[in-house]
Amino acid sequence: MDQLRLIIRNLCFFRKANLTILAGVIIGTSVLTGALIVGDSVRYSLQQITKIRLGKIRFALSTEDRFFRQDLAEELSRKTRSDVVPAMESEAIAINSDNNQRINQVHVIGINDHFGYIWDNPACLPRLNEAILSRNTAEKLGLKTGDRILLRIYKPGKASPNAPFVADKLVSVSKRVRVAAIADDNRMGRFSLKNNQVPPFNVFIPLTQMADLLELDGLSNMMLVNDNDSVSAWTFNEAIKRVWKMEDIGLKKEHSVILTDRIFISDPVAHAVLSAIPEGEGILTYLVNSISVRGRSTPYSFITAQDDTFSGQPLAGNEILISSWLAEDLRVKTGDSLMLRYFIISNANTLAEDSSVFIIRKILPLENAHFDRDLMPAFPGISDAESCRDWETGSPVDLRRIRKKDEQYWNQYRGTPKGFIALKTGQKIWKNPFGSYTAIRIPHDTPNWPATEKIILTKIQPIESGLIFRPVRDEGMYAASQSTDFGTLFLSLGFFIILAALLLTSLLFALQVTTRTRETGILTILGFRKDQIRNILLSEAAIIAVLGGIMGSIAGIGCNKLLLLGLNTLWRDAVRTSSIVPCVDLITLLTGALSGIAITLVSLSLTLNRILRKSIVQMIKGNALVSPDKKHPWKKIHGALALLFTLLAFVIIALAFPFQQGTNPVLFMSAGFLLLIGGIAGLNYGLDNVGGGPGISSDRFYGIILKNAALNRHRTLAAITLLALGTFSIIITGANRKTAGNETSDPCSGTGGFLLWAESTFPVRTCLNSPEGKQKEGLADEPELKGLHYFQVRQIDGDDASCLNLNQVSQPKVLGVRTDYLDKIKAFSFASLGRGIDQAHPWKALDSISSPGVIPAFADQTVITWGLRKKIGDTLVYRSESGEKLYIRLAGGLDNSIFQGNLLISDSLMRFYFPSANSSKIILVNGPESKKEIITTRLEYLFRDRGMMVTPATERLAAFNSVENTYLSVFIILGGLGVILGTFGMGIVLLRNLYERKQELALYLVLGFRKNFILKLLIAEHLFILFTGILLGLIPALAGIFPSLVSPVYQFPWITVLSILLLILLSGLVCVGIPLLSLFKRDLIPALRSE
Amino acid sequence: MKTVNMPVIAELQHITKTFYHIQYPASSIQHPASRPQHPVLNDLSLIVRRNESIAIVGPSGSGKTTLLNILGTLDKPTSGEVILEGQPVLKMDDDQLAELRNSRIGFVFQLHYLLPQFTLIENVLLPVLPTRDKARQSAAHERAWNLINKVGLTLQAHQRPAELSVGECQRAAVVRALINQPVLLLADEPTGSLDAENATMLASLLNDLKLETELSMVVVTHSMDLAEKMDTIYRLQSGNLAVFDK
Repeated sequence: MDQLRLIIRNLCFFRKANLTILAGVIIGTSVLTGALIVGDSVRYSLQQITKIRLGKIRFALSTEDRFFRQDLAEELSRKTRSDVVPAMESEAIAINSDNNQRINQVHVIGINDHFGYIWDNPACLPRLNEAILSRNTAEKLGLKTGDRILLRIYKPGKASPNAPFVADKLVSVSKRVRVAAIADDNRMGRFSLKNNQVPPFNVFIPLTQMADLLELDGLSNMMLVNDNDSVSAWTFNEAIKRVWKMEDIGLKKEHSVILTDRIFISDPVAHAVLSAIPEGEGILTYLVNSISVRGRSTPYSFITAQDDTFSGQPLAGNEILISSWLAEDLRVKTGDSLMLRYFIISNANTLAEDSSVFIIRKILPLENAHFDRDLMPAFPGISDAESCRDWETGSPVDLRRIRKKDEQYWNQYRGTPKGFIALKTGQKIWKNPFGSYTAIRIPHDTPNWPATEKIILTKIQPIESGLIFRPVRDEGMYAASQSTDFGTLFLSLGFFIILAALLLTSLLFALQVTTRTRETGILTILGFRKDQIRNILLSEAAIIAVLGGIMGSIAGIGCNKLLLLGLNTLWRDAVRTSSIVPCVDLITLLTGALSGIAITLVSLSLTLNRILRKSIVQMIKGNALVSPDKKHPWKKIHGALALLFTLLAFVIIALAFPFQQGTNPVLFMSAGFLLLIGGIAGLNYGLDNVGGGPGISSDRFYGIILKNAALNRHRTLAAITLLALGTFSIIITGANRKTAGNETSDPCSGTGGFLLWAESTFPVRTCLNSPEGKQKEGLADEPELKGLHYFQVRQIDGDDASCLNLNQVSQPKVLGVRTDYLDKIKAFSFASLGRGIDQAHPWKALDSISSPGVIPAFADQTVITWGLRKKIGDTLVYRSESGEKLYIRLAGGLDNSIFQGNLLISDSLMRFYFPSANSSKIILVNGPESKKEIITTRLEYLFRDRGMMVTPATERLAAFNSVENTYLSVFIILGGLGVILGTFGMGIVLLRNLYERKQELALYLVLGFRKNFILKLLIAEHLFILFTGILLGLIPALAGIFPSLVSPVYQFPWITVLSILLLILLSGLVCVGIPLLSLFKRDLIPALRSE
Repeated sequence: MKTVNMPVIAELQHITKTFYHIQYPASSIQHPASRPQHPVLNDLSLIVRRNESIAIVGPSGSGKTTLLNILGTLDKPTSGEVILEGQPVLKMDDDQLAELRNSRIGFVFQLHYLLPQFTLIENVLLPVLPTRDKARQSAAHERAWNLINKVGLTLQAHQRPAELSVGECQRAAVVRALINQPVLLLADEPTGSLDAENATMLASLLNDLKLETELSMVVVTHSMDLAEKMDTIYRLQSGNLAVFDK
């Protein structure tokens, strides 16, 4: 007989015990592997979603509110020999008039035939007055092919809506179209450039029709490049430089003036043009509200600031040169003073009137060549107005002040400036972040304009106008691959099952080895070395571990399916999609199997070492189960630790009461944890003491119970520890569930004290706190809306970095917040703050910049840590509106706020770096809780044309909390299952104990004990384990969550937690009851004979 | 048989073995350090010569098994020395002791301690496993069958212990003890679990084997029938050995 045969013979002989050990290994490994496969599955599913939403698109360019020629795409196609597809995207509200269903956040995408080439199997393409709806849009609106849908599409315009004088009117266009087809996810329905697993609501209409509707004929704001592995994004970005035109960045030449569609030429572009044409002359033309002198006033005139010397001598800072028309109107002469009144954008981002006084240096005839009507920029709402009374400007215009002669001037000279001031003076008083020039005058004799245009374009980087291709496919795949690690997450969540399985396996193995102690002793006597015996036993364990690892790994696939079923249904809040599909990777299976094997072997090896420490004599006597002959060296330490931890816990609890509320939970939690450790250490000490003999008399009922519990101290302690830890974790986890019940009024809470979170599809430009704004938007007429405060937030579009998005995000949405208000109300609390930030006024830190191009930002701590995988002090790279690199430095982390998913920067810095940033699509409302519902209804009604959705701030917070709460639910359920598994383990151990003690029980019978008494004794023994375990976990846990329990706003999930505890108790009772009853059905007396 | 001139196989020199006397009266608790020490073996010496058989008798708890365990290197004395074939064994490490037990000492206990998962022949050959010497293994195999044949268990060789009688198991245990041709056989109450017939048969078997193999033998027993079949009988009393007159 060789060693292998011996091992196999052993395995077969002890097959029942080995099968139970195998089952333990399989359970542990399957949960472990299942969790790892969840990680793979989520990553794989996100990558699949990326492929589905992008089709064959590899690179994309999106300029949002800037527009370029559609032809640019075709020219790029020719240049790069690739498929470059133009498209246009805008936000919209979609309405089904038949059932009044509406979706506020719809993406309308203008596409042409080329768009179809991007998809392997596209839905049919829309024709005029037709639309293709994504499946989710159609389902939500209840539409089918052939139905009609009303679209209200945001009309962005060429100029920034935030620029001075741009008309503040509802900029949308409505169109009713027929549903031509419904596109499934994989047939372009899920198209989106954003890294998010949540499907967007898409509506596709013909590109030409969309451009026509938005009055952007021939333009687009998106280019998509079909799959092309041979080139990089750099190739396309370089190719743009070779084919683009000035129109692509909104510049146009009219006569001898270069103008822009955007009113102001951005500084980098203006400097590029001026460096390309050194003779060029920068001009700033501005609308002034009045030019007045001694009671006479000329309303609404254009004044141009330029450096032209006119008469050979530059204008001084306070000098003005006026037209003869103005001089006659105001009856002024050279040397008189004039006052100009004009609007500027104030620090509070509102228009404020300012004034300056100028001395008339010269009066020139209006026929002078300098009085050029082309100098007036293309003000939307003004340039194309028939008369002054038709003006639509973003600034208030008092039409009553417009005289007949003003109308005549407009009819005859249009926006020809009535005066000139020095350029520097103009730039100083009319300074704004959009640019310092409205036009650049070029010499009449500029030769060969096309060549000059090319020179100008070589001086400009496309990126400065947002023209940059991004490798969206690679970015998407990277974002998916770096997504939330669900593998690790579920490993943590399933920790208790794995631990329970491991403990169970170790217990069973220990039982088996101890049962074979005598055999071990015999082998020792027969001359086997300890390492040989160890190798034999460990080889048996290894075979079981390997078999269990492999089988568990395969069973992990099934476990994974169960977990994914949970994720796609019950725990959907954690992933916000039902598209998570299983992905079984061989490496993961191997990892799971090897991990299971390794963990099992380590655990079994430790158990074996403990048992093989017994002396030969003890082993041959077969009494390795009893407490060691020598006193446990750690016994006193256990006693001391128990005392120390318990005392410390009580001291902390005593100290915690007087502290402020913020400190209490941490202190109580620490005390709870110390009590738990102290309790377990105390129990260990107690069992050791009881096992030792004195102190507890065995002639009493409870004495016998304690002695028997102490007999197999390790088994008893393992079972009680598992129960205690499980109970403690379940209750503590239950207490960690975040609630957002009545936190509204507390500014330090996650809502910041705000009542409502309103988000509109189209921006609200009006200042809703001003009387004019309230009047304009109809808020003043609503009695329920009186006394409300509106906190309007600007935004730069980006990815959602909240826990609702599983993808790794590199550029989250940026919100510009008014720090003075947040500082005043001391809104939100911080989990962390960077160095040097005033703790009392943290929001002020957002206003200061340490160096140009580096701006501070706050974000939710969870976003920083998990969404961005950054830390305080790290930076994120963005591009400002003018294309410069902008480093956003994380200066602080908010503690669980409604801003989760976004970066918060100062509104003033946002206006400086992103002047066109959409004005307030997000509005936070402060008002009385009692009127929450009526305010919601009225606001949604008043802003219905802008697609406003109003959500209670607590509800928004609850949505974020629901993710974490879902994880906690998973933990509670899996943890509960783990503990129940532990109780089953306890049942098996009990069964084994009983069979080992058959002779003892038979002896009781022989000595005249009644069966009922013995049964009572055994039940009491095991209930002692069950209740001690639960109580040792329950008491510390209740101490730990005491602040939550007494808090009036906290809602502890009693039902869930109590159900699981009850289930644990029941399973424990079943596990105790069945073996006892089965044993007592047998005749025990023969057991004595075998002695 | 006179063995005085035969070489010494094993020797116990001034062996003392002390255990803590653990007693917990219900009324009092004593600290272990304050409890009285009780020497089981007190300055005990013993010489075992080749082909000599020694019986050790004495009342229960007198330390007979302790003495045997010390001689068999299963336990260590509190003081004194154990010499086996001229080598002091107390300085040996666990591996050397294992090798020594495997090759030079055979054990027989009151219970046969055959492993239930193996057949009789496999149990007999179990002590051969620790050695990697193929020739020795092969020789042991042949020897096993000879011995099995000798003790009349040929027909039962492929049966498991559960299928054998207690007497057959005990005979198999003796064969297992002799498989590696030890110089010293230690038997602790070998007939204790047997009926009179089987006990007599086992006693004869041990004697026959001793004569055939020049084996030295120390037998701890309560059975005077068995003891009387040995060359010398010692009585263990008060921690020391005294020659027991037959």
